[in-house]
Amino acid sequence: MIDTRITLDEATVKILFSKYKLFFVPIGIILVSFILFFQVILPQVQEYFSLQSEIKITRGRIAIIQSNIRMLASLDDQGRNVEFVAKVLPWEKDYVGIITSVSMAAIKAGVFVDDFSFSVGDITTLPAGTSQNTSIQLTLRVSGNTQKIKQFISELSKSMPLSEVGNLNLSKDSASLNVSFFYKALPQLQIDYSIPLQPLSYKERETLTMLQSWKSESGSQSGQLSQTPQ
Amino acid sequence: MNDINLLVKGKEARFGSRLILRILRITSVVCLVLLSIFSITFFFLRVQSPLQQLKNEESSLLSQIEAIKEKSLKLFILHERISALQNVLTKRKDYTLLIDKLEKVEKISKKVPSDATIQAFSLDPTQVSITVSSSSPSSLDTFLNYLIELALRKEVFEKLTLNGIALDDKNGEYTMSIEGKLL
Repeated sequence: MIDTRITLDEATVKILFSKYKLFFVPIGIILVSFILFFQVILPQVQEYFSLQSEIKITRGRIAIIQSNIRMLASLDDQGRNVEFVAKVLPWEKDYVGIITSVSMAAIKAGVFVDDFSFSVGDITTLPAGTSQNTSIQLTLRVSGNTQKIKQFISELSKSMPLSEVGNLNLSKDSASLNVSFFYKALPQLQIDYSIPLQPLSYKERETLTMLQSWKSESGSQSGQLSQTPQ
Repeated sequence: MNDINLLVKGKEARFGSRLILRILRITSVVCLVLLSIFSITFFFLRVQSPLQQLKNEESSLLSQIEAIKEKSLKLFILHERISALQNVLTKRKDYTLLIDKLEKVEKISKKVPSDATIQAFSLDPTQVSITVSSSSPSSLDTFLNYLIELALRKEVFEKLTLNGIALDDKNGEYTMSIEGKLL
């Protein structure tokens, strides 16, 4: 009976080594090449494609920034418009503006403001960038006939700051009104120049023009009033 | 005694081994060459990438914008304010509606009989409350009938509610309080 057991002693290893040593180097090179391919080359390929993607994105951002620069350079100074909209919808409680608008409306309508009271709330803290509009409530009593009170309400509707008449209590030759004057805190100014900046849209310019026409109407009327001899 | 052939697998076996060895050597050389080509190619692609130049250009443009930053801030404020104003203008109660209702109510007040007086008049865009007093209950009745007719004809009122009638013993005055939901 033949003994089929294989023994791996030192002599056997030496024989196998000497028989196959010429194969070790190329096999080793091929194995290392595969390892290097997956560990080094493939990551480099991925890096290359992500680099290309980043180049494309950066070029897009540059184009947008250039477009924004061109648009801003061609824009007229909007300082006056900013001052105007700040009066129409102030970013804090504008008591002086409110009293002025009530007085002007009363003068134009020919009514007397007997007394008024503010519902003040917190006068020191600005609401921090709230998205909803806030308002100051004013209760005032005016003396005049219904026709003049109608005109007073009409004048108030186009005065600045913007307001809204809630309840109206009429009695003989006088009225008590609850009026809300709007204001809205300015949000944090954060401008991302990699997003296209838009000039004022047609609808926005329309709104601005309409509000400015209210101002010029009241301006011309107050001019006429000032010329009226006493 | 039989001859023992110690040469196992003669010429054919040796030829097979050499072929395999040759293939392995060629493959290893090809692998090395390809690795080198890939490495050098991607090295040069990375070195010549315009990304850094583009980033420098972007920084330069952003510093140019700093000079006209004020304009962009004003534009931002204008957009924000006008948007808020549009919101207020759409949501605020319509003044013309209020004035229109005031005119309708003024017509009603002209129909108050001569011996009756309006004590109080409260108006908001949806509702009106009238308090009328008179020493003559029939005058109040006449006025009430007029208001009911208006409500039936759907002219001014959608709904009319008589809140109450009271008599002041001291001066003999009747006071009527009416609430109407306006059209």
